[in-house]
Amino acid sequence: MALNLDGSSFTWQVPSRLDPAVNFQLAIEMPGTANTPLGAAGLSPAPIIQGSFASARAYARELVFEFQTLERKSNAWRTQLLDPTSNTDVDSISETVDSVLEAATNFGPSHVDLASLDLSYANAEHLVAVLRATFVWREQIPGWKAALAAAPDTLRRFGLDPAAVLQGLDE
Amino acid sequence: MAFACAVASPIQPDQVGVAISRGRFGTHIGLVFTDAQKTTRILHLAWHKKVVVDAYPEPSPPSPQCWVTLVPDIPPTSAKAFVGYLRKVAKRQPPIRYGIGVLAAIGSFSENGDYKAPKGSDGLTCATFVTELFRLVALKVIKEPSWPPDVNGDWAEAVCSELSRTEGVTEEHVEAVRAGKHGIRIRPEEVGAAASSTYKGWPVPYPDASGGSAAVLQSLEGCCPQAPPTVPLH
Repeated sequence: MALNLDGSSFTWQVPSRLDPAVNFQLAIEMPGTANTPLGAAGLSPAPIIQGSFASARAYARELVFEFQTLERKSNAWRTQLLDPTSNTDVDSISETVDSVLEAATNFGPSHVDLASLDLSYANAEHLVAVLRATFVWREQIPGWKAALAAAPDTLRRFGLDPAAVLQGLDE
Repeated sequence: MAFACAVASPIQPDQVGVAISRGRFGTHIGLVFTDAQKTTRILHLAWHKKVVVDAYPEPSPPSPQCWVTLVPDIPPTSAKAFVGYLRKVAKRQPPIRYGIGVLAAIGSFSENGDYKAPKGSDGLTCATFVTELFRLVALKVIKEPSWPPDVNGDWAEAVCSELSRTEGVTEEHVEAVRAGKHGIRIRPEEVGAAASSTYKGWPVPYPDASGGSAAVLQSLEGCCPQAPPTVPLH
């Protein structure tokens, strides 16, 4: 069985006979993240649920919504980091911290791929937030050390003292 | 920099403060931050599996707990990132065991950015909870290996005794804590003294932190005259 909802493809496996009263297993594949197990994405693994196909459809919609919300939240840090004009008040910085932690926790540290980003014009304060928030994952995050090495130039452009701001990150 | 009465020392939203109070074993310590609702909070490990987020003392009505606070001179850029992390920890309020082993507890927040006791760690005290949170964002306040062992172990025995009277604490945990009773003891006022020193000198070694702790206690005495805490803090 397959169903398209908002461009997302769903498949589910059912027992040999389609009986709304029996248990069936729902599995979801997302375009672009087809190989992302739901568990790794921070969602509950596809459970065996009991109910009708209508309820499965509603459940699938809910899961997709949850997944998309999670994905959006997990990408917010990137947007703020790459925009030199991003707001740098404590709430915006906290949002970046929250987002990058969500990304690393739910999708794995490699999802916070700093190596793939052009940090030439990164926002200095959000860069510091990302580096400090992911310090414990510095060995697993692609490009973390290169981002730290590039940070002094970025900080100077923003009038910040690299030695003071980056203290402790160079272990 | 010196500690001052919390009621007279508001903390700005982009700052992190260190707060010290009286506790059952002498002094108690926590971190001050502003939550997303713009309310200033004190995050602290009050006791076994009891991470607490308290309201920051206001002049009126009088707070049940008297605190002195200080804002370390960490750069605002780093302080804001730290606030972001503290908001997350405060939301999660992880169930952290109360334990006294210092060196084994280093890196307690290193897995998934959430609390997970490292192998051999019996938990955290209020003081190591604070130093581990700083460490989480690469802000090392103290140089733990420079601390001397707690030779007499009286404090550890008092902790074990209190733990054994606490509901939900296993005998195994009490014994694990007791096994480390001659290890390093980091006092809240030492962490406070280290936090009040120039950030560029962090991490602070024991002689400097210990030497500065008298001034912290003096501030506490001046602001919070000796009295048992209305809420037992550890």
